[in-house]
Amino acid sequence: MMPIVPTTLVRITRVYLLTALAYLVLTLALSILAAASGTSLLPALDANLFWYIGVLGWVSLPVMGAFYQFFPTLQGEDLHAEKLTFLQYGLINLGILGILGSLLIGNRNGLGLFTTIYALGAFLLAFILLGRNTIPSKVTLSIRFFMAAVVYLLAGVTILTLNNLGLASLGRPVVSHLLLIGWAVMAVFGAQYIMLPMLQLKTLAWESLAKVQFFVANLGVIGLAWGFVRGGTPFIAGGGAVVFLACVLFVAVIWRSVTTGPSRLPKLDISVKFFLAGDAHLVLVSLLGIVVALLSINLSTVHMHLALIGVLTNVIIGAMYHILPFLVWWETYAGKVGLEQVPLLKELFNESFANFSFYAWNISLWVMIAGFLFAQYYVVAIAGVVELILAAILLGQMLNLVARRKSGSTSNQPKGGAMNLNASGGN
Amino acid sequence: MATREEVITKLKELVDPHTGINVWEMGMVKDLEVEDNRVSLTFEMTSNFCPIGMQLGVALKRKLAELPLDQVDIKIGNYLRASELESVLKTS
Repeated sequence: MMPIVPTTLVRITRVYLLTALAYLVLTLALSILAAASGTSLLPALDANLFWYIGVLGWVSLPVMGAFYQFFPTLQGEDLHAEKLTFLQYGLINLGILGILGSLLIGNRNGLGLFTTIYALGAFLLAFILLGRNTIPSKVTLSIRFFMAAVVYLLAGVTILTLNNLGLASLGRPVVSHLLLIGWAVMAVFGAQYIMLPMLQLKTLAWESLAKVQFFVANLGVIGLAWGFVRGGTPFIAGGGAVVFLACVLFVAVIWRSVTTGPSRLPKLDISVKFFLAGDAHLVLVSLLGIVVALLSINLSTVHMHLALIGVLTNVIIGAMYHILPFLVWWETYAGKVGLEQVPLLKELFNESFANFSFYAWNISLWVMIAGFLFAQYYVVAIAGVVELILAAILLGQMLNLVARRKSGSTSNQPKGGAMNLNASGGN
Repeated sequence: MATREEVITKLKELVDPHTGINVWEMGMVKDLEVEDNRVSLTFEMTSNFCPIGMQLGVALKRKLAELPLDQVDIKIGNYLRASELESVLKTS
């Protein structure tokens, strides 16, 4: 029998994505409480609570998990130092849970300690990815985006740690923008440049423009960060304008890539739908950021929710609908290719629900935005409940998917469209 | 003796798990030659980092091994691990 060559099973990615979904459910639950009580949680409960879970948990964990798959795969390698990744996962989650506990009981020392632990996890991530899983000669454009993202993560958590230890007072905005634009959105740029063409069976168009966009995006992030630290409004608005330009260039490259060449797929891949919605919100969010900086109008809440849900949640859920089914397929069925029937990736999850949730997420987001704009917080809460339900169902589906991996059963696989590779004549 | 049509029919049985389209219709098989019970072809991945490239390559050879062929030569194209996969296909 001909062997299937094993490549590293990136177990850590699966664990990261599932944990992230749990944080999403928690973030939404806390946000609903906040909305229902007016503008923030009970006074004793710091409103920062859902910022920490949302940014450090829901947004950051999927990026970390995905990087453990992207770095080796894009360089044609197996993941090195896999054991360290579990230590890194432990540090990150200990940090988040400790931060939450500290905020709940109002313990500043605990907040500093557990932010330091989170930062250690971030530095370990950087060591694993940049020190053990990067081969200079194989660094592609996407990997370059990912490397930059890791640097911004380190910058963001370092400032956050110094702030929480009382050693600096650089404020939250610089941390938020380093983590959301520098860390998460740079990851989004890099990931979509490879995932979108792959998923739609296209090639990346205007690759030279994408390379220029890398430098524009970095210039924007650095300018913005400097503006929040010392430069003031001119740098914030200027950096924001450059970030906006980077987002427009990015969307131009993505749009060109999707619309150029023959369409070999009958419709948009579900992940791509989520990506494109996230990209549209990205342009809007970056434009709104400039408006907020220049006009000093109080749209920060709208800006933040459009970024967290409109951009990042759309993109992360889109990525999850590919990565998690793929990992389960890989772990469960890749070794059986040629030996028995194996299902298609899209047969591992409920595609109809995925399509429904795409519209439900985005409609509820805009209902939420309307609630913020008109100060109708019960509307925000209702939209939040819808999103909480969607997130809980998604978590349930993904847990069910992973449970299927454990069973390894193929008895209930659909018959249509499956690979039928009986190895009757292996060399 | 296997004909070109039989080879293509066999290739069509191998379906990409992401798209649901078989590798022949996806255009992944290039330079197919069937002559004197020998088959040679280039198997080209749709992306050079294809995460299941190894499995698809092995499955492709399995499919062809179901035909009464004397020799199967598979070159791998557009794949970061092409030489590794070609080596596996030659030695297995």
